[in-house]
Order: sequence, then structure tokens, then C-alpha cells
Amino acid sequence: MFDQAVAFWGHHLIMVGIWLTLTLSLNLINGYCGLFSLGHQGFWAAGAYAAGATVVFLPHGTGLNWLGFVLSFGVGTFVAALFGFLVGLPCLRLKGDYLAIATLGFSEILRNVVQNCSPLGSSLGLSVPNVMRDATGKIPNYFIYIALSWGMAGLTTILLRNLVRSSHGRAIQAIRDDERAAELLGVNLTSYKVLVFTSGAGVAGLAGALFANYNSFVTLEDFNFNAGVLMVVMVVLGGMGDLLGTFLATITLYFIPVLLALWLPATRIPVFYDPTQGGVVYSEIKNLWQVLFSVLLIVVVLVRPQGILKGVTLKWPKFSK
Amino acid sequence: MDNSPASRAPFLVAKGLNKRFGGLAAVTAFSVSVDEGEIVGLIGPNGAGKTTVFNLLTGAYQPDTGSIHVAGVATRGLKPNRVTALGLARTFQNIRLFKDMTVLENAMTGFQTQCKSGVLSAVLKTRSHRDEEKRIRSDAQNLLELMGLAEKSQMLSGNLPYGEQRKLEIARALAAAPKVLLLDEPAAGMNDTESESLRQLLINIQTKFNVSLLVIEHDMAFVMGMVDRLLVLDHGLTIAEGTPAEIRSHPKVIEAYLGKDYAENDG
Repeated sequence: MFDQAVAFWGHHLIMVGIWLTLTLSLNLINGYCGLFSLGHQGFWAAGAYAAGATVVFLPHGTGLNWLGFVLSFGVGTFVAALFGFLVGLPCLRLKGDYLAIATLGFSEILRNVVQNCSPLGSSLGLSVPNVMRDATGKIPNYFIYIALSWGMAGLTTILLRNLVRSSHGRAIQAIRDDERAAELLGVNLTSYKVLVFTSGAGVAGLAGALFANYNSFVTLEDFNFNAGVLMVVMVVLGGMGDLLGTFLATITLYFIPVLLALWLPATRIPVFYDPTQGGVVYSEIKNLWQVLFSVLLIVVVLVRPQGILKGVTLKWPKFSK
Repeated sequence: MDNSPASRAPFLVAKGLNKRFGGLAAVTAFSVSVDEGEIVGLIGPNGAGKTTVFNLLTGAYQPDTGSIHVAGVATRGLKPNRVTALGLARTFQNIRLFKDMTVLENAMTGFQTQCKSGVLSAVLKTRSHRDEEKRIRSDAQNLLELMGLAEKSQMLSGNLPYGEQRKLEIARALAAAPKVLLLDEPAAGMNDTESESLRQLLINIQTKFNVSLLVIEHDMAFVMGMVDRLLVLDHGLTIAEGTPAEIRSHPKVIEAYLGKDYAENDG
């Protein structure tokens, strides 16, 4: 019973840390710099697959690939950052919707490439033999992974906060508010945009590396378009360019479906009428969480389009020196 | 001061600038030079090409032909951020503040060309980076003080009244430590008292920072009372150049301002 609770909540705590890292890094691109990327799941996937491949293919003895495990984080970050750079460079002439489509295009291309790449497991997924597990090799050490994932999210927060509050952060936000005025104040648009894209993608890649190692299995389904949209929704609802808001929105939006699936009763209710399926179709309320979730999102967007916390004065606790 | 030949040439020299947008000759054979400490006016009816001139000088547009030298460096083909680094800054006719940033942050963003610390030291908050930030913050605070905006430094810039937004734009441009400051209709939307105090402020700024001003303005009283020289544009052509007294009596200027256009508008 205890083990089950640890497995259930441990899993979700780890995943929230990963999602926080993803939304924080996406906030740098979308929120602070105002570049509308819809391809963050692609960088996440690039990091996960690169890390997975490192663990799988790095030569090692008969035991577990400890060296691969350690290196995989660096490789995942680097490969995703490289993709961010390569995608960012040509895409930076694009704005708004066009940039969104181009970045989405990138992540879909990446999916198709992996799908047809048998060393990476094609559509079956890549199994990543992993350390940090119990003797059976099946159960991950939840406590270590929770520490790693929240450490990663915490570090991302601190570094991102330092960046956005510096002269470079002001340049990045100036680009968001008025690109031309920023350029006329001496801001090099290209280098800052490339920097934002590359570093944002790199952090997503790090999150991917942790995901691959923790989950010990990566499939393309983990990085589908829905995941990308959910990340954007989290950033938008948290308030573009608001770190605390991103935290709250990510945690809330992550746990709502989890809790709905957990707490909604299994009672069957009629949902729609379809003569081809013999009339009224029933479904368990439990399975309707997606409908509830969508309604909730619509309500939030209607009530607070500027983000849940935007304009609310909530300050980070000050750790003054 | 430095007396080497290079520094004796006017700081900003533009020669024979041409710019066409499709069939429209926006600016034709435009030349200007702005020397150290000068205040030069650029006037002309709506659509005369004044703002296009600013866009050409700052590198936002590339001229079809002609040459521009800033501090002796040919700037044709350079990006606007490079031109700014050479010592040219501008304000905008339609205010372009960073509206999601505070007044202080806007002023601090102006110091971009003077920020030397790298991204890594910013992310890691090294001592040198913190010192630089502290210096920029206090310099920005001083500029706001000068413009009379010190008390509003924590407000969002978008919430400032119109006249103060213009002043903040000037502060932000001054932060880039320009040798020539281009002002695009700084007194637009101000009443007589406000524009008079702005005029005094600009004259003070000119002496205090030893910065030359190139001013686009519609308000004749405003511009005539502060400039050393004036250029008059009409349909992209420079129709007159001279002191305020000369311009006032120039027949072509009178025609451009009071002639056909004036009669049509009022009729």
C-alpha cells in the first residue's frame, strides 16, 4: 500500500518537476522574448532521445551504464540546444503565427525522422536500461529522481530569474515589447533571439534527458502535439514572463487531470446519442475528465485572459545578501 | 578637445540620400551634416519624408544611393544597433516605449550599448555583473531625475501620461550616450507651457551632455526658438536650408506651408 502510494505520487512529483523545467524554459522563449514557439515538445524529444541513445549505445561492460547515465544529461542538453540553434537561425525572420507554424513543423519533422529510424526504436519506442533502480531493475528510486527533477526545476528558476533581471533580460524583454525600438537602442536582435532559442531548447533537452532516464523508456507519444499545446497553455495562463505564475499554472494544470481521474466516480452517465452504436452511449464520469479540463481552460481564458496571476502583486521571497 | 583631422569633420554627415518606396520617391538627394553641439531642425509638411530621413540615418532603412558617416565610419549597410553604438540615438513620433516594463527598466534598457558583462556572468550573478547593474541603475535614476520622472520610476511606462512618456523616451535615448540625438516631434501633443518647458530641457540637455540635436517638429514656435539651422523638406526634396530668420522669409517654404496645401486644408 505504501509502496503504491510512493509510486503514484512519486511519479507525479517527478513529472511535475520535468514539466516545470519545460514551461520555465518555454517562458523564456514565448513569455520573455515574445517568440511564439509551438515546437518545445520537439526539443524535449530531442533531449530525451539523445540521452536515451547515449545510455544505450555508449560502450560499457556487462553492468549498468553509469558513465552513459551521467553523460546523457550533457548530451541531451547539447543536442537539443543544437536543434534550437539550427531551428532558431532560419526561423528568426518569421514572426507570430508563422514562427509558431515553423517550430511546430520542426517538431513534426523530428517525430517523423525518429519514427523511421530503427536504431531509435521507430514507433515502438526506445528502451533505456537504467541505473537508480531497485534490484529487479523495474522500480526507479523515486526519492533520487524527485530530488533530481525538482533540483533541475529549481536551478532553472534561479538561473532564469538571474537572466531576466539582468541587462540581457532587459534586452530580451525589449525585443518582446518593441523590436525596432530595441534594435535602435543597440540590442542585437539576431544574437539575442538565437540565444533565447538555443538556451530554451537546451533546458528542454535537459528535461528530456531526465525523463528518458527516469522513465527508462521513450516513445514518440510522450512528445506529441498535445504536450506542446499544454506547455503553451501553462505559460499563457501563468502569465507570459511571470515565473511564479508559471509555477502555479504548471502545477495546477498538471494535477487537475490527475486528481480528476482519481476522484471522479465511476458512475456511468449518458453522454451522447448515436444510432449506429445502438442509441444512447454511456461513459464513466471518470473518463470524462478531459471534457471537464477543457471547460475549465475555457473558463480561465474567458475570465483571466492575461494570465491567472498577471497584475496580482505576489512577490518572490527575497533572499537578500 | 581632440584636434586630429578626423574629429574635425562633422560627427554626422549624410550625402545625397535617395529612398524610393515603389513608385514613391520618399527622399531625394538629401544631405545633412550635424556638427558637435549643434541643434538642427528638420521641418516640412506631413509626408515630406522627415521620418524617412531618420530611418535612413539610423539604419532602419537602407538608402538606395548616397552615403552616411557617423563618427567617420560609413554606416551604409550597418544594422541599427551598430549605428547606435557609434553614437546615434533617436526617439519616435509614435511613442515606442517598452510598455510592460517599469519607467526605470525602460531607462536602464537604454544603457544596452554600455553593458559589457556576458550572459554567463549575468546568469551566475558575478560580482562584476552586479557592480555593472548597480552603476546602470544609478545612472538611469539620475537621468530620470533630470527629466523629472524620478518619483515615477516604479510605474509601468504605459501608465505614464503622454507628455511624460515622451520625456522617458528622451531619457532612454540619452542613456545610449549619443553624440547626436534625433528627436522625432518631441513636442507633439503638448500644450504651450509643456512644450516651452521641454524646449528649455532640451537646451539644457544639449549643453549638459554635449550632444547635438536633430529635431523634427511641426510646432514652428517650438523649433524656431531653439535651432541653429533648419532644413525644410517637401515631397522628399530639400527646398530650403538656413537660419530660422532665413527660413521664415524663404518663398518656397511659404509656398509649401501656406500655399496650396494650406488653402486646400482650410478651404
